[in-house]
Amino acid sequence: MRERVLRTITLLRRDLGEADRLAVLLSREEGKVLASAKSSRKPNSRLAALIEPFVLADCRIIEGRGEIQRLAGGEVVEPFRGIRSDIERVARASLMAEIADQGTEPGSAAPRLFALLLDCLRLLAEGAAGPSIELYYLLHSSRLLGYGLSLDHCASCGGDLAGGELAMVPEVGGLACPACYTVAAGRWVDALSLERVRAYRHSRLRVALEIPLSNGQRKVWLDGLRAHVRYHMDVSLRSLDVLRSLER
Amino acid sequence: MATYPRAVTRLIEAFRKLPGVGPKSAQRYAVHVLRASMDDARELADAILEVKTSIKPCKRCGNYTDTDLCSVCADPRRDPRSLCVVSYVRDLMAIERAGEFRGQYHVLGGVLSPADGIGPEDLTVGALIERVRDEHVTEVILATSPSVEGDATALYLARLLGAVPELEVTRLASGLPAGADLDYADQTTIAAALSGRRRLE
Repeated sequence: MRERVLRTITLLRRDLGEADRLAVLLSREEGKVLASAKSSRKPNSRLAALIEPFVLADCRIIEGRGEIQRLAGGEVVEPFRGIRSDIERVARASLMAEIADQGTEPGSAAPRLFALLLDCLRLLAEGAAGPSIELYYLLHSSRLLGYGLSLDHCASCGGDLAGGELAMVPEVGGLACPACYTVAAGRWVDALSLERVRAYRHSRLRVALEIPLSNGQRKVWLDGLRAHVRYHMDVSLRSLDVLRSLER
Repeated sequence: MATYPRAVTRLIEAFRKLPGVGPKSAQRYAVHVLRASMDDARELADAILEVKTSIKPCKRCGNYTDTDLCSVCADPRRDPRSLCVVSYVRDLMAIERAGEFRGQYHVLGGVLSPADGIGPEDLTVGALIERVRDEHVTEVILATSPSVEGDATALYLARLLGAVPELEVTRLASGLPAGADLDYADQTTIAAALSGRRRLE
């Protein structure tokens, strides 16, 4: 049986049988990896810490017969303990992990998604602004997963997005010009925030967090991006429902 | 190809719904029931029906009971000012087995887990806050598991309970299991044990 060490981020874990767990891991080289961790619910398990959600670890994985492999050991690289100090951070990290889980298949390398998730988890754990990190993640992960938001041209007519009251329309693939769609006040995107979110697209995360966005405009963008992701993934995102209830 | 009669298949399917039971185990349990005496089979069926008809959550703490109040809440020797908050009844039982705690409990019914869609409104958080205020509780021990979800739940509750005057909120210590070799512990556990170290008295 082939054994190798993969650097992984735990996306989620589920109880399996009496004392085992099934972990969904994201690796740079092999994309999503499903691994069973024997007896990891017992207090003296050496595997339990490796598959805590959002933990970065070097995992020793042994190939199984089917899709599910076996976690044989490993070392925690970064536990990102700062995430668990706040339920909103946990909810945001869960949303990011859920999107990565739903959007990837076992066996397909995902180096850019891995790097994006790692950057975002690291800054969440450090206590940086959660909504801005989420906005950055949604913007970039949707592009990596093949349904990126159109920020330059109207997703409906293809014309330039020059300004005015731009509507976020998930069904047509992104932003639409005022001639194609109109939305209620407080739900449209203005030209200035569009410029700033375009800068998000080309900046590294730490730099992007310095780009000023008003709370109101950040909320419009976040609501729009969440709707865009949900529409294109065509699955219900459970952590998003909890995140919304915490924000109320 | 021969198959089991319908009644046996039905029993196998029923056992398969139990947590951690796969098709092979379900078949083994069903065959065991087939081989058992009529008295043993009736005892099993009666026990299942009895637990479903007579057991309900305790009105005060959420523990399982067959009366209005569970045995812990009804015990006058238990200290009502000290409240231990657990996620599930099985955690309450684990703490009771240790025999150290003489206060009362509050069962949340789970942990905050965004990945599973479980938020504060799915737990008995409101009832906990009400209890703490109404029953003049002086200490709340947050006994959720030392996992991401357990820690986040404990910190969420600690923040809510911080608004209650003259209330001490504590968290179960976490770290090395009794009898373990330090050498074999993972770094997260050692870090938790170090940050939760206490003065020797």
